[in-house]
Amino acid sequence: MMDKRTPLEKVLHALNYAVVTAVSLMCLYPMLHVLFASLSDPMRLLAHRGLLLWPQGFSLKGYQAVLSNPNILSGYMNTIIYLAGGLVVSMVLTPLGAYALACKDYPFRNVLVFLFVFTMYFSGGLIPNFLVIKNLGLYDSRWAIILPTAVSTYNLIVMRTAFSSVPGALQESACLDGANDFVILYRIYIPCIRATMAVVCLFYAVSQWNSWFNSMIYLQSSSKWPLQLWLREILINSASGGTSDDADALYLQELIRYAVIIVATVPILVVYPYAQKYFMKGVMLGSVKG
Amino acid sequence: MKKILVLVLALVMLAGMACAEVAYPIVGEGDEPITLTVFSINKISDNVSNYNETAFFRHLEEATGIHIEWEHPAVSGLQEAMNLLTLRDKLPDIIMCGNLYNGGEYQGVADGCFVDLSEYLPEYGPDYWSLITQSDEYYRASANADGVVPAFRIVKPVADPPYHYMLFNMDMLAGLGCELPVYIADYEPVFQKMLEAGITPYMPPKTGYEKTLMGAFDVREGFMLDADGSVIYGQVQEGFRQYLTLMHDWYEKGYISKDFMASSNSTNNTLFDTGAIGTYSAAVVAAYNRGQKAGFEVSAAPFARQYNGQQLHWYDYDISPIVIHNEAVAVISTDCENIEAAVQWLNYCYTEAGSNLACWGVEGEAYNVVDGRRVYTDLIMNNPNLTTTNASYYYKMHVWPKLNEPDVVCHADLLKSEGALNSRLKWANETYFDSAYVLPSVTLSEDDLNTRTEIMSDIETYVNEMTLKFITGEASLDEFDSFVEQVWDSGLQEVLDIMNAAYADYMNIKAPQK
Repeated sequence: MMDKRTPLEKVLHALNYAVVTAVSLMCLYPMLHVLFASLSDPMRLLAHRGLLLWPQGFSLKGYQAVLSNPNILSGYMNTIIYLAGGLVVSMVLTPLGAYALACKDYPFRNVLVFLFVFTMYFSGGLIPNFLVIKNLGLYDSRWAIILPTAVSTYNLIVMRTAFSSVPGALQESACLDGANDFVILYRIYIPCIRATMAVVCLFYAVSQWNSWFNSMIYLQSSSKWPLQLWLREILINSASGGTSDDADALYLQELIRYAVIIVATVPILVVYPYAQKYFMKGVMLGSVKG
Repeated sequence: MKKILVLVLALVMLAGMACAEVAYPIVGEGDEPITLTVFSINKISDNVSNYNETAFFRHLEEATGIHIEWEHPAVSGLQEAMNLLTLRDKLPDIIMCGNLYNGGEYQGVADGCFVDLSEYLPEYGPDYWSLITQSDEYYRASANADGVVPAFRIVKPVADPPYHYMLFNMDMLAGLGCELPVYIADYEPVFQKMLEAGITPYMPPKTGYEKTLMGAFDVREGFMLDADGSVIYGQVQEGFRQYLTLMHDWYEKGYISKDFMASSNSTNNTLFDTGAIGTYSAAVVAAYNRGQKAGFEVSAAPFARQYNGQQLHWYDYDISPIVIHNEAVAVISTDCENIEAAVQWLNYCYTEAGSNLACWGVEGEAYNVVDGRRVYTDLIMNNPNLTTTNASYYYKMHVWPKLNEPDVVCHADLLKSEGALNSRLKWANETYFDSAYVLPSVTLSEDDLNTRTEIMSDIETYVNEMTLKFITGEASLDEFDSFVEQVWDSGLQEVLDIMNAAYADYMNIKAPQK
């Protein structure tokens, strides 16, 4: 096949590729740096200056230490619990709210939307939130991690927009066939916006996976802490560095920092490519009205 | 009959003598074991999820008969966790970082959150009580003018030698044909040679306040004492101008790293270990041990002086036998239902047996006696599962409210090698430094504290900013006089009056007569 592109187009094409490759390398490099560092010999790692393009020496001690840390394992378990529980609760509540707000004949719709959006700009602050959680009896309970973040306003609005794009005729005809709102929602609306559902699900999953602050504030027992809070503990403790007189401890701490990032990031990285095809569709769905 | 009477009398006398002693283990009413809740960070969260898993706390529970339910807050959010504690319905029985209470541990007692221990100590904490009341010096650092004792703190009757010095790589110095600098004037030739060899000579702390060098000009950062024993503010003294002049000179000549304002402990360690910088001030043993691993010799320079015979007065490490350490200011909350037991539990580590347990661990497990000296076992020194630092919190408790032997005697990290210990002891016996200019940590009333915070936060922001500007030359030292004037105009005198009054009150505190 003949290449019909003009030389200028070819150059532009090549430039495009070069820029995109450079940008993706820039995004990729920090991750690779951490990976290489986590596999390096800590003494050579500390002595190394500049870009790290390959592990310096080889050592699995960091991973050994991370995986033998009892808190990392319990943190993993907890994160999975919060993730699964949070997703179930969020993915039940968010469509319910979004559907109601998307229905044009819903009473006080605008007032409700305003109240939801209000919370995006103003929050009660740390201490009032803490008092609410405590007085609801949620303090030091796993529900304190799942319930307060069950519905994110941003995700609710994304979903409402998606629902609004579903033709009203579908709802009308279902009504004529005797369907109630639940049937309409679960049989018609949700299947119509499958891609948005997947994206919102991913948003919830990622934010739950990354969250640590609520756990730090609401969970008294460290046995209930998620992985990210332990990750933070390890990173911050070692960043204050140089407090130990023991050189081995210092070197090991350096490795653990990197190893624990890898251990905590890989699972969510694995999920991303699978969700990506929905992600593309979901983003487009907002703009292309069907 | 007479014999019985004598026996009874003797028993009565014995009972009388024993009343100021706590019998361990402590037995609760009935057969129920006593349980207390304790709020404390977990120093070895790499290895255990709960302190009850460690050998030390198993031994402590056995010895005291008290079971502990631990609450380990996030170290990275300790201050937030402390702030939120008071919002709870019930505080934990014992809180190990009472000094992080908003306004300090004395304020905690004044607010009714913490117990004033002075009522309980004579009967239930006699070992701690007799330690802190043995002299005015001990008592002053443990109680305020009203006799309130808010906390159990580390008691360290024998001070440790200095640990923080300007450090040099001796192999680097030998390669440059230099020796360890002793006087301020000795630094410049060394720095010059380093610079010529492509090494950045010196990385000061990012604040620009190098304690040891400021000390050579008789100033300290913030509040300090002068020769007459009044409280003054270091950064408005003439000595501070001289210090800044020196630092600016070094900066101009390229001796000071241009990146010093962005430096951090860990990057400085790396820069030093890799020979990118010539000197910085840090803990000597840690650097020595790292140097041994990497194959070079680290040595501390003696505290810098301007001239032979100069006496330094800034030295501030371990000057009080009562040590304030973030993780070891143990307060008892007013929500505690068994204050007596809590006091007894904390008191245990001030008894001979308890102090031994905390400082050394258990004989046969953590240490053995060899030739009359205690020597740590491999469980501490070469444990495949625990670093020595972490083992010092597993088999013993390195930082804890206890009667503390000096680190040079019982700190396992230090005892790892003779070289490490010697690096610490190198200048320990010098007599040209003392602590005459160091202001002890005095307690202020809530109002005074608020006034001081209000005035000083502005002054400190200005002073810290100007210090860096003077060093880098962004502000000329000709402006130093107007700088000082500006600080005085910002209300410094009012704060100095408060501090002087508080210091006078502090010095007037007298230990109760026994």
